[in-house]
Amino acid sequence: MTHDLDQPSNTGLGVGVGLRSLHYRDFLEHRPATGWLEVHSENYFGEGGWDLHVLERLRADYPVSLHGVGLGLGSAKGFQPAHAERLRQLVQRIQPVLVSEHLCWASVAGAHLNDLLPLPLIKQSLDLVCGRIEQLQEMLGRQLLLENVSTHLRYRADIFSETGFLAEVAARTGCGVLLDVNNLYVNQCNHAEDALTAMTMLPPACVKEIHLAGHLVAEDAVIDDHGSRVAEPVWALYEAAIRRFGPVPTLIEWDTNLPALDVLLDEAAIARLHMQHALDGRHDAR
Amino acid sequence: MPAEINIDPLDTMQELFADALLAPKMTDAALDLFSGPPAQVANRLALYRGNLGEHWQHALSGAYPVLKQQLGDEFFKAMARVYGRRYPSATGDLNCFGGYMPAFLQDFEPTQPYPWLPDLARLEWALHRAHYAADGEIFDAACIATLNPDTMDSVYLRLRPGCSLHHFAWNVETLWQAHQQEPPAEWRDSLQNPVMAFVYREGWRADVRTVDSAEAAAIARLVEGASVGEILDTVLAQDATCDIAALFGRWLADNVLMQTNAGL
Repeated sequence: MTHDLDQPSNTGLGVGVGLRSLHYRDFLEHRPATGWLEVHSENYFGEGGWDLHVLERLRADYPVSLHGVGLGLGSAKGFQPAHAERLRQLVQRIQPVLVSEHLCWASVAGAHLNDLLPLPLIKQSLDLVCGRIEQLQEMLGRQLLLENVSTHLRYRADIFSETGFLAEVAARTGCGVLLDVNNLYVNQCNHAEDALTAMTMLPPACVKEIHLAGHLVAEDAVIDDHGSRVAEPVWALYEAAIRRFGPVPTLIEWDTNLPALDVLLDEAAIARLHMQHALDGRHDAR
Repeated sequence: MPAEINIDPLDTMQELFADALLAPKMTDAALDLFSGPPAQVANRLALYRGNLGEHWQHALSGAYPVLKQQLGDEFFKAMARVYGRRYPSATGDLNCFGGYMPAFLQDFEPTQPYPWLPDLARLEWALHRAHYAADGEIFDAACIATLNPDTMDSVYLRLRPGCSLHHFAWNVETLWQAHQQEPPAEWRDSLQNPVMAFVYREGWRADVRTVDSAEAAAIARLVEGASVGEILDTVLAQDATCDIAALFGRWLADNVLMQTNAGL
């Protein structure tokens, strides 16, 4: 179904940060300036309690984006409609500005693996994911954004590139794309997939959000650990992304080795400079 | 029909991947799925397996902080990996992972010398669930003023979501409270005393306290949906000298009550 799901591009949101419980107090007491906040949807799946209370209070002052990490849209077995229903209830309660999920699978019959596992990029996955996204968008009554993941492994059976797959899903379902630039870089390192080429597979209008984060260079692979500042090559890719996709809402994600909030906000300020620099360059080129 | 043998490749591929994560010995069967040299694929599957253990450990650490202190970080981490395989996660919400810990500890051979741990796990799971329980309407001191003694029998109170009453064979209430300070206070002296404990959430913080038999009976009646009048009868039958005003005052102060229009 490709009815009118396309929502405003939200380009005015600018740069936001992930809200994590370590920083609740800072946000409640000081309401620091930031474009918007993003949370992991599942952390607010409880019926009530402190976390939901904080989110509802901050929602009054910041646009909030709900980012799901547990739905597993591409799971052949073990997909849980109850999880989607819980998300629907949260969307209704929080009225988020953006709602996103990952292009991944997460469960088999009888076991949820609670990870963003890479999907075989084959026709069957495409049909499955498109069907699930259409259902979810129908349920939520709004557009969903789908994010590219970092992966340690690629399948021999793959017939699509990941961004080629995402472009197909967007064309068939009307969903948007959440482009994680750090994930593109990590996959470039792990699988020799050129990140700039990967971006060209996506039509400019379908990218509605960008993620930036730090990564860890380990012995066996580059790991997308969200545990440090954004790396230099990723900033360069980010500027290329802004030139191609425009001033898309951008998020700094930081999940491990969480720093003081000042450091996170400083990283967001750096992202703003890069966004501006890329936009200036884009205008100069015209 | 050789071309159609593999009718469900996606399902099969995910099963093989999952098997390799849950059991290292299944790695070889999954190697062919992926591009790259087999040794590198095996190493990278191990990274996902490591993630899985980390997520289990992280979720269980959040739900069972005192159990973790009792067992030590290294032991707890290793135990989390055993737990996750024996009681796989059932949902994409990791805050729901870990509810079988009491049953797991009942059977887990290495913790048998510490027979109070299943009770501790029961208590911590109840506190964990109370943390995420619905907020609900509070019946507080201001509501008392609206009560008419003549119509007490038609006033129904209920426990707010997240409240629960427990009978523990071991005094894990003292144990848990002792570990709310650093370093933990003494808890071993009273460990062998059975206790009745009441888990509730006052404001945003889940807490536990012991209750005597009169209060336990009253709470049990609340759970059954008895009226205020019936609860008073129960308490006085248990303990004719019970200070009813103090009991209700405590419940009001702890924000554990909500009012309903009729019995259950």
